[in-house]
Amino acid sequence: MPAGAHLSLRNVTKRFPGSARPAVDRVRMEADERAFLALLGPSGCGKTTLLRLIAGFESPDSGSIALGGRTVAGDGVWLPPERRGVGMVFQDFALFPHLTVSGNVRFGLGRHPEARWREAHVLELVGMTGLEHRYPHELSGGQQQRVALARALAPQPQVILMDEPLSNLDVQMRLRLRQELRTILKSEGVTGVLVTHDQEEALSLADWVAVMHDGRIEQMGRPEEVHEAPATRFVAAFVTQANFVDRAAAPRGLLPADAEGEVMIRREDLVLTADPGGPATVVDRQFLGRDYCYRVESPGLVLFARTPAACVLEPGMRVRPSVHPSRIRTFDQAPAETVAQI
Amino acid sequence: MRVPLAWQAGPYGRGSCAAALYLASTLSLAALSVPLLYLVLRAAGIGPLALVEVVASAQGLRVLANSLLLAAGVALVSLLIALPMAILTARTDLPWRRFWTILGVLPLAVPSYVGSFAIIAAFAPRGSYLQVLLEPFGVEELPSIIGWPGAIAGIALFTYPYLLLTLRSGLFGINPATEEAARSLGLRRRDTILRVLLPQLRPALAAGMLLVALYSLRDLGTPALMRVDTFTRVIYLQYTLSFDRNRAAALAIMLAVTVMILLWVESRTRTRAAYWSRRGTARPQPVLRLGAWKWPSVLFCAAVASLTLALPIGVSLLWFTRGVRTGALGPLHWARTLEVTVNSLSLSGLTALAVVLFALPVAILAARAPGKLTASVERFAYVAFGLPGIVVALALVFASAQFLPVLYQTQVLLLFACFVLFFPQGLGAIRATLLQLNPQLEESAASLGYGPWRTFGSVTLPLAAPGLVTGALLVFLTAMKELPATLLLAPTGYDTLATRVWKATEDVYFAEAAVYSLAIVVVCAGLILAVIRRGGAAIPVDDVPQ
Repeated sequence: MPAGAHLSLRNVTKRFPGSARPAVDRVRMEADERAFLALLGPSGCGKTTLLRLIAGFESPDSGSIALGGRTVAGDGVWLPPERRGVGMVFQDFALFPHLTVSGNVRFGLGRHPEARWREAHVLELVGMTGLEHRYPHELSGGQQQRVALARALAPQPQVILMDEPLSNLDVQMRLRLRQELRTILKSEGVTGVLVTHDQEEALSLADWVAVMHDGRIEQMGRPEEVHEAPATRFVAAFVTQANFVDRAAAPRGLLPADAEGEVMIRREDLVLTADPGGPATVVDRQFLGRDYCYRVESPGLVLFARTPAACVLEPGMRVRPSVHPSRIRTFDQAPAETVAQI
Repeated sequence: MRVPLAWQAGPYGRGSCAAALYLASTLSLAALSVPLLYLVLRAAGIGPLALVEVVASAQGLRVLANSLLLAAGVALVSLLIALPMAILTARTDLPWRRFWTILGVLPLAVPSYVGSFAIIAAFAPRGSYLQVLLEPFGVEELPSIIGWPGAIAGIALFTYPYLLLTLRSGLFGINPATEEAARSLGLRRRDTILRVLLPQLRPALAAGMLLVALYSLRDLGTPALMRVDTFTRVIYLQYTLSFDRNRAAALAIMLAVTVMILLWVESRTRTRAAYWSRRGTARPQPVLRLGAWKWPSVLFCAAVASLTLALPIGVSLLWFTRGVRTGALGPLHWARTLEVTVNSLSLSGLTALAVVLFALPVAILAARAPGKLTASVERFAYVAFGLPGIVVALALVFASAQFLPVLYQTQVLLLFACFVLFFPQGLGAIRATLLQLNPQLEESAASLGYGPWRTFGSVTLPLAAPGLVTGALLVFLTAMKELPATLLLAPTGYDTLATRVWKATEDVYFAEAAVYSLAIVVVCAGLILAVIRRGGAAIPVDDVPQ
């Protein structure tokens, strides 16, 4: 473990009573100071439990968690959440309904000598200046989320944890806050951990992305790395939404002769050429602004392709799908234990 | 590796705060188990043979039959009142719906012994208002109201609101789309009531009728005034007149078991009802146009209100003014009334305070860290809810006489009985409030550096306060009406409004009874209106589902 890691988890395991497999399974993870880390995974993969373990709302069965070089859980130590200096932003905001915006933001400041200044600062940061006297029910969803963020930032926590902070907002608000969130965290210089099931959100926001599956971290890396070089089939499927084609089902000409087993072809790597004698048919077309997403079918196979807007094909047309051999990837078969459980 | 401390109960699972919560819960559990444990001990002491002898005796069987008959009669009459009222106030264009709903709930302010006294005063065979009114037409004597008709009316008229409330929330829980579907399949609006609405309402009907039946099994005032030999009346007479304590205890055990069986059936139907009904839909409920039935419907509601509210209040007022006019009520009575009112208010107030103080810790643990301890407190509370006041009182009389004679006939023991009797009601209200509180609010406080006590003081308490006040008001209301436990446990010379009404009607001092009755009804009506004003699920009178 690098000595400089600001947040470090060592073999953290958490099993809830009555469930067969652990919710969090031997997770190792590090984040540097001021880094922004996204925990990405489908619902039920254990990412929220991992977040709650860091915050101190759950205690690990084994393994240890350290914040700023100090062990907060494990090795016989357990620090309650109020003494960890960890900010938390909840999915449904959890603003105190009996307090105003100002009361909520000041809640964690106590007798901080510069409480007034700090409050004004974080409210300005999130763009809520002037609404100090509103109550949470008088705010829109986006405004409530801003206050929740300001409240968590106010006491200058070592780490700020965010549990799907944008998922309760409508699409436009989500896109706008996504941009701001990164700017705000960077300007405050706080280490951030974001839990999300939205790959686009994770890849665009974070410095580091950790992909979780069944309680384990399958891959952790820079967003580009995870996207370009997925370590496992699960990461590839979840993060890139690529096509997986079995050799046996592939139409002629798609795969090189030496390909074996199952191969991965990214949507953007699939080339469609109009060909009346082609092996596949265009079934559906979606216009996505700058490009098209085509759904193409051949017997026993469905493929998705993202093509530049210049490539116009009509549903019903016969096409010949192809891919450059260098863009094809294969993954090892899933580990035996996973197969056994399925 | 062992984790030394854990975040088990949210913010309240550790430290001195947890210790306080667990201590309060343990004390509540101990308190609730006293009457039950004593009954079991007593049953063992009497012995199975003697117990069977009492149960299977002619008297035992007759009392059981009477009690069940009364319960069934009350449930049926309540249904005849509550079902039309529920549909009229929830689903039709009845004029002044909210007004009629509140009037439909207000009879809860009239204790059954007050209502029964009014019924006797109004309809007694000779000398009653009705007889005096009919005398010019040659009516010398009316058919006796004393007995079954009086007993059933005396309870049903003042407990039907429980059924009304259950039915109304049942109606609001029904998805309006089912009725729209029926209409699109060709049913007329009125037919949808019979073929779609009522079948879906069946679980609420069953649960509500069982609840009313339970209340009638627990009631002492009305059967005693109407001279129907139910469990409560016979136990009371055995205890006060014959001093055959084993017989009284055996009958009390028999009553407790009967009530528990009913309670078990009720809980089964209630969970099924919850399973059947969907949570409130945002869409407005379809409104049935009454048309020509509009004014007959208003007349029906008015008739119910006049029997359940105007009658007891009017009769009390008449006796009161007559008492003042004839000098039967004088300065001595005013002083006495004041003293007794203060007794009632302080006993009810202390009960409410004690219940809230102990129910809050149990509710916090039950909502945030459900475990074995809270589960047993809740189970005991549920059973204690079924224990009629007379059974609890009797158990405490015997137990204190046997083990703690110092407490016998003290206000402390009386307060303890009220605590045991009304704890379940307070716990239910407070627990419901806490379950609606998002636990993430407490987690937020923790992540902002707040320890358990500070989190409690700055987040949980302020947010739960409205629910606590409503719970306290409900306990206060029921404690004001309490009769049997006070009768058996009150120290000599100590009276509450309820026991004064009872004694005055026994001695046929109707003018005096009227004063105390009016005091109870005024206080209780004020409490009910206060609870309604506070809104929420305690006494819901508005159309919007919770």
